[in-house]
Amino acid sequence: MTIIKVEQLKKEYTAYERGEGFLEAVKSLFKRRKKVFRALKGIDFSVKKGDIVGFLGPNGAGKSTALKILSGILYPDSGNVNIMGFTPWKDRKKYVSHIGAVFGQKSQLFWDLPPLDAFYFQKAIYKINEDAFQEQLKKFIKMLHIEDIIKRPTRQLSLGERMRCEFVMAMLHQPKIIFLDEPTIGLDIIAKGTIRNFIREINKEQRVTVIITSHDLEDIENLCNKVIIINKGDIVFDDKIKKLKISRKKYITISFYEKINLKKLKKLKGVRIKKIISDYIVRLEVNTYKEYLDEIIKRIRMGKRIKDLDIREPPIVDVIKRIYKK
Amino acid sequence: MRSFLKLWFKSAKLQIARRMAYRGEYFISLIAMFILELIGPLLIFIIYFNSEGFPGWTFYEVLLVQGILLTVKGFSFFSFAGIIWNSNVTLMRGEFDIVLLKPRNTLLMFICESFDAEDIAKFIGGLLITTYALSHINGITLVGIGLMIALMILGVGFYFIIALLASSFVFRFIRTFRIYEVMDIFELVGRYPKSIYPKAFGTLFTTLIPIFIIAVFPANALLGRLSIDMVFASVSIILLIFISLKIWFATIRRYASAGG
Repeated sequence: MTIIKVEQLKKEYTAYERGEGFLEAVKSLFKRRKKVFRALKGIDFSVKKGDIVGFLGPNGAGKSTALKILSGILYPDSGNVNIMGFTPWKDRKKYVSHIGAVFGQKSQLFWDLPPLDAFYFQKAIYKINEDAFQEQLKKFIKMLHIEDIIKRPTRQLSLGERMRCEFVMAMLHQPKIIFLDEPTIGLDIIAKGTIRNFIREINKEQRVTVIITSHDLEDIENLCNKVIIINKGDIVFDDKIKKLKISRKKYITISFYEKINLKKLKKLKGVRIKKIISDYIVRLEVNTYKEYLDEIIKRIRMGKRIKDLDIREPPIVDVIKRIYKK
Repeated sequence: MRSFLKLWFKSAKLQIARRMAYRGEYFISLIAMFILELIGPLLIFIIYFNSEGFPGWTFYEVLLVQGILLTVKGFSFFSFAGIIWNSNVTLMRGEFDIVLLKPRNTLLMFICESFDAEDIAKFIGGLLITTYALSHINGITLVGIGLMIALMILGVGFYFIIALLASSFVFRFIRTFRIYEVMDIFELVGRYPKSIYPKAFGTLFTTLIPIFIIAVFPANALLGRLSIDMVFASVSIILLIFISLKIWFATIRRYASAGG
């Protein structure tokens, strides 16, 4: 069942530019150079209920803008968005009661007060009944291991502890969709793991649809079943993560008993040297588009005996880099 | 509205608790603000007794004007005028996003989050001065008190208009902390009876910028000095509230958040 449908979504920003130095600063008081920045150039996509969708893109690609429009924060210039029957910017008040959001760099907690106070304030804002609130809170305390921290002032908590509490804030009212903008930014590996497990569990248990933007590709690989890659305001990839990974390219690390003849290796068609690890070991990128892998290996061997062989899919980061460059 | 008031009180309690997290600073701020706000009435005291005073006004009547002004200003400042400061801070950091994520009227939610615990001192100071002045004025009627309170509420409306327009201004231009100085000018003008101003200014401050509604008119109403000016000012306030609300909501449509 489609839960999010986006059609021809466009958004432009006007920015003002000025040159360097004091004189330019004075000039800009009277005359400013206008620059129109097309953040979204008419994107289309849809998301199914229960999906975990990764929104990827380089800095300034338009992914945060898209996320903010989808969460009812920004008005687009044109286009249609239908999320559970709502148009976010038109039905904002009703719509946002069905969504949750964690923006890694913007907190919903109160700096000087314990997170528990913020949870109760959230309860009042969303008019959550006492029983449902206590039940949810108890569950999240257990899932996120935050029993000892929710009564301490937020300012005394570590980033990881704060982030876990931000998730409680976003989930207390049992939203059907949750938008996560860089939810693991700056976290250590353990905190990241806790957050990822939490996302997985709420997705599985409550069928919450998750839209996540992250520069940490481990988040995307570990969590998402679908990826949307956005670059310069356009969608350049929209499919299952499996398809992103399935590539005709393979990375082979090959180790020989004898010294490698690099001259000959360099001349082989469909084979590219990625790294020379030693005189005996080399990492190669091979293209299996026109040739079977065993045949490529046969050519690489050049009659020599192989000591060890490691074949891998290219890391997702390389795949994405290639897509960004298109 | 009941739901909003419940939320506002909850937010007020939280904001006070936030400030009390730094107890020493909170109490010093309260006391400092209380003393600072007494300078206005003190100045009036000095002017009154070292000049010919204000024609047609006794000292306690003049003190009543000061008390009303401080009450109206104090109430406005602690209850909603914090949106000006909050607009500056949240807009620069793109934190207005969080307000828009709440399933509530944006303005009411923003007001809830902008409660200013410190300005309660102004309000309490105003109430004390008003009560003291009232205890020295004879011939007060219930109707007079009712009219005074009604006009004071409209006086709060005046500050509401200023807060909305100032917040809209911040949304448009980002970072305009100096707007508070404009509010001080209004206060300075509203502190004195209409009779001391040239006629043109008197008319301006009754109609287009109805400053007299924040103190002079409520005091006049209590003292039984009713005039058609009060009707003009009241109508003007209601119209201006409507216009400034329209402007505020139109302006937040332009909100562009901040980069991630």
